[in-house]
Formats: sequence, structure tokens, C-alpha cells
Amino acid sequence: MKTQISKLTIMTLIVAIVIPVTGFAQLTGQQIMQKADDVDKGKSRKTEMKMKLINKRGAERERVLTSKSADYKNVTKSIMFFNAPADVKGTGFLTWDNDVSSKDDDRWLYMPAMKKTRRISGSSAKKEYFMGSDFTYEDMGNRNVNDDTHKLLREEVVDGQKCWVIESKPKNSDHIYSKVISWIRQDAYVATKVEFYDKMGSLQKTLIVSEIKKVDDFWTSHKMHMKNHQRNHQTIIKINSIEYNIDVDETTFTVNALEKGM
Amino acid sequence: MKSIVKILLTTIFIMLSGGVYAQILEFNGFVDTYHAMRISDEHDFLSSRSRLRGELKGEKGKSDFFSSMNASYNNILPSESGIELREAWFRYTTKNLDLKLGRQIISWGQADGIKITDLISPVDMTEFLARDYDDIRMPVDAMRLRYMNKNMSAELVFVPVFQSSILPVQQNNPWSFIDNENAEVFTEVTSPDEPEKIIINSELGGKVSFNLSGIDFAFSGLYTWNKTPVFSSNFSPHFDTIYLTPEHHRLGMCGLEFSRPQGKFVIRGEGAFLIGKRFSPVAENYSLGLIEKNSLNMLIGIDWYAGKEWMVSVQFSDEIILDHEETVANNEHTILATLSVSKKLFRSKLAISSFVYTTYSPEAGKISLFDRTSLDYSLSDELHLMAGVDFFYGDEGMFATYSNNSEVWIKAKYIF
Repeated sequence: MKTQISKLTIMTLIVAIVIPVTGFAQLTGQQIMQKADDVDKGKSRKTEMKMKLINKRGAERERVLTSKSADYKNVTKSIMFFNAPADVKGTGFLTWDNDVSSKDDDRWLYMPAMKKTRRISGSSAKKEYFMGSDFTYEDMGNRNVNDDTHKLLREEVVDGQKCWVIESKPKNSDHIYSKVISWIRQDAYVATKVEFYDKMGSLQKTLIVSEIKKVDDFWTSHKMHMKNHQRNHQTIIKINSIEYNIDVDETTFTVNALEKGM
Repeated sequence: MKSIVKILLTTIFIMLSGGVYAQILEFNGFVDTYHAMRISDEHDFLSSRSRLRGELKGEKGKSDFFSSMNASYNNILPSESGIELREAWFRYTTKNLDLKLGRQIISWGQADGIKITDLISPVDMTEFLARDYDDIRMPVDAMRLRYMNKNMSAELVFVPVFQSSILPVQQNNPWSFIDNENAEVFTEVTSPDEPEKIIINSELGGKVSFNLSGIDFAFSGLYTWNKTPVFSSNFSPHFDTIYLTPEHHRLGMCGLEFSRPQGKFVIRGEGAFLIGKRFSPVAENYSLGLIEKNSLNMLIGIDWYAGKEWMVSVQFSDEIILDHEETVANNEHTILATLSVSKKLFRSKLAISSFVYTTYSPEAGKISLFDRTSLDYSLSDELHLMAGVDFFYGDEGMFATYSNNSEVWIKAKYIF
């Protein structure tokens, strides 16, 4: 389960907001999460980001990615390529995230050495860690708000920002977390901190989101730092550049485009 | 073929130096070295080769190009050493069309490691299957025109000049399927009977593909040649030498394929109706020459994404010779199955994989198999160290020929 942070797809990793903040006291956990889910992220976006993996000895590895995504009726389509390091350069993913939770996503993987694209499972891949990072595919993709029950626990001030603290528990037992606690900024409906608890109820990972600022009138999270407490491993995602409402055609999100590269 | 490559190289040269500078230009590549030693008593090297691969690609506006070259040194097969142009193509793309011209790899189908509809690019079997499959597949000089929209694509492929697969027939090649040392009858491979390099011998293919939510499927048709030769045989007057002549004949193919995710599984299928395929006759009917039959080649595969970076994949294929006769050397059914298991560990730094091919002869009730099990450790993002075992087994069938070629191998690859 991934909360609003889940909304930060690898290509969006963004949250936008221009919602008048009135009547907070009346909002339930469900309503807050729904509003965060409904935040305007533009119709399309292009992102360049750097992902740094840090192991328990402090050794670092970097991945550089470029992605494009766009929203269509009941589906968000995205295409992503690795620009670095050399051993994964050119590897591409095409994803059609279906808004209907009962329908699996469609995913394809392009392997440049084989010059071949193959369909991969849309459901099981979500629970896998993404290219050695501490983010699962689902952490970076969409999770339907209605897949979890959301409870407003309290309000807190984090880094000078008033936040709601929301506990989200999955309705089905097949989720990899037992619960997720999110700190949602009241001014922007952006998650600034998220705690992920494993099936045993122990704290597994903490995500700190920082450098949240507006780009083209859209609130954008520029840095995400995930710490896996159980594996003593960290991943830092930095957004190098982002553009909203780009000129993109739906043929950008096809297997042919995946084989051509970005 | 050479003329096309020259044209392409000239085009690239013009793009680079003629004032039409590419807006984006990248140079990449790798260096790798691979050494394999026979497990059985002789412990001799079955492969020992090193390679530098350089890749150059550029882009300007709607056009891009790619070229790759290998500089290889082969310690076992000196004839394999040298510089080789692998790919060299130019592409022009519009919103719905792209035209790719030049030496390129064309990969059709859903199967892994088995060719059902994937009949355009020939294969280099110099070391049989004991190579990475991307090294086995050979590029072809071709023109590929594609139309695409958001859910479908249609492509037309034109291959003007025939190019044969490469089989291990050299006597000094440990992977040669010809063994004259212990044979009562000496075998000699004569010059191949290849099609002339004239336009009437060109190949033409088309494919229409659909990528929809929940399913991919495609229909294809190809007017080609059997790239992997079939051997006709003749004996010397004293019957002490058999002469094998590699022959290539026209071949038609109608194919279909699909791929469908189902929860943690992906089901893949592929089928080809092969028209006018040639088969060798049984030895006592060698004088008949090659026998022409139609055949049906089908494959079904299931990939299981088991979680925690485990992946299991099985494939089963059966080629059925229609209207089979006893004079045909091949069995009516050629059954081939594969099992692939892989697991990534330590945040994908270590990959363990095993890929098993097995053949089954229903008539003889015998199997043969080939298993490549390997470890791939990423010492850094640029340097990979690999080691593995290739195991051959069988009394009869495709892999039985190499039952003495089981080997251990090591490989290092630096990517830049």
C-alpha cells in the first residue's frame, strides 16, 4: 500500500495542488487521501531523475532515468528508459496503469541486448523492488485509494508545515505492508513523510520527501529519501528536471516507441 | 550486401563530417573475454575468445542511425578473429511511420531461444548454442517499413540478398557436428548450394501486431529461404566418403503469436505453417534427394513471476511434418521443451540462471538435453564477472551430438 506517495509515479513523483484549504476539521482520513489522489498533476509530464542506492557500508550506485507519462480515460500511460549506468542503459519499461483496481496493469520490458520486448506480469511486478532500489514498483506507481481503509490519527507540524497523520491499512491481505502511515501537508496535499510497516507490524521503511516546491504551478517533490531499516539500505531519488503538460502523442506509449527509445 | 553496407557507411560518414552534424552522438560498447574448458578427461579449451564492441549512434531531427563493430580474437578458431561490421542502419521516423534501412537485427515472435516465426535473421551456430542468444542471432541487410498507431503496427520487411546461417562444420572446431576421427565413413561438406544474389531471390515479409490491454497478438507472413541449410548426401564410388551438400530452398511461412498476462503469469503462444520445407531422406534413400513437405510448428510457453525476483519459464514446442513418410529422416514430431529459472540476489548484483533445452523422440522414447547454468555478478555497474556450466546429455537427438562437450566457462565483461 502506498499512500499518496504511491501517487508519485516514477515519472510523476509530483504532487500539485491549488485546493482551497478550508474546512479541514471536517475531513476524514478517506477524504484527505482521496483529495491527495485527485491532486492535479497535469495531463502529461516528462521527468529526468537520478536514483542513488546506498548500501550498509556506504557504497553508492547511481541510476539515471528519463520518463514520460500522460493521463487518458481510466488509464495512465508511461514510458521510462535507463540512461545510466552502462549495464542497464537502454532498458525500457512501458506501463499502462489501469485506474480500475480489479484490472491488472499492462507492462512491457524492452531488453536492448536482445533487441526484444516482452510482456511482463502487471500484478506480481508491483511488489518487486525496482532495479535494486528500496522502492517497489508499487511504491512508485498508483495504488487505488479504495484498496485501503484510511484513518486520521492526529495533526502534527513537520518542518514547520502542518500535516495530517493518516494510517492506511490494506483491505486485502495480499499487500506487502500491514499498514502505512503518511504525513500529508495541509497546504499542498503532498506526503512529506511515509512509514511502511511489514506484515509483522515492524517498521520496515521510512520515506522522507523534501524540496517540495512549485513547478509551472504544480507542487513538485524534488527529493525522496527511502530508508530500509531492516536491510540497512537507502535510496535517494532526485528530480533533475520536470516539465508538465508536454506535447505528447499516445503513440509515445506503445511497444514500437519502447523499441525505438526516447 | 556489401554495397548496402557501403551506402550506409557513406551516409553515416556524411552525417558526421559533411556538415550535417548529428544533434546527439553517443559512443558506447564493451570488452568481453570468454573461456570454456571441456569437463571430461581431455580438459581442452572448447572456446577462448575476446572481443571489443564499439557502438555509435546519432540522431538529428526525425533521423537516427546506429552502427556496431566487433574486433575479435579467437584462440581456438583463428578464422573467427578479425573486425566485423555487425549492425549499420539508418532510420527515418514520422508520427506514424518509420523506415529502417541497412544491416539490422529483426526479431519476430514470442518464443525464447526457439525459432518459430522468427525466420528473418539467420543464426550463427559456430559454437552451437553455447553462446548468449543475442550473439547467436545474426543481423540481415534489410529494409523495414512500419506503420503504427496507438494499438497496432503493420510492418513490411524486404531482404534483397540471401544470407545463410552459419553451422559448425570446420574440422578444427570443437563444436563441429562432423566427427571423422572415429568414423568408418569419412564425411565431407561440399560447397553450399546457395541462391544467387539476384533480385528475384529476395525475401519479403509482413506482420500486423496488436498491443491491447490484456493481450498482444500478431499475424505474419514471410516468403523466405531455409536459412539453416538442409543437407543432401552422396557417396563416393567406394562408399568410403559421404559428401554432404548444404542446400537452401524457398520457404513460405504463415504465422501467428500471442502473449497474455494472467495474474502472476504470462502465457505466450506462437505457431507457424511452413510451406515447402525440405527434409533429408533416410540414409538408404539418399539418392532421392531432399524431400519437400509442409509442416506445422507450434509453441506454448508460460512465464511465472513468482516474486522476490524469482522467474520461472517453461516452453513446449512441436513441429509436425504433414503427410509424413518413412523416407523422411526426421520424425513426424520434433518435440522441444525448455525450462528457465532465474533469481536475482543482493539487490540485483548477483543473478543466477539456468536454461534447459530438451528434445524428446516419441518413436525412440529417448531424450537429449542441454543445460546452461550461470552466475552473473555485477562487481560494479560497468564490470560483470560470470561463470557457468554447460551440460549436454543424450543418446539420440539434437544435443546428443555434443554429449562430450559439457564444459565449464568464465566470462568477464566491461561495459563503457
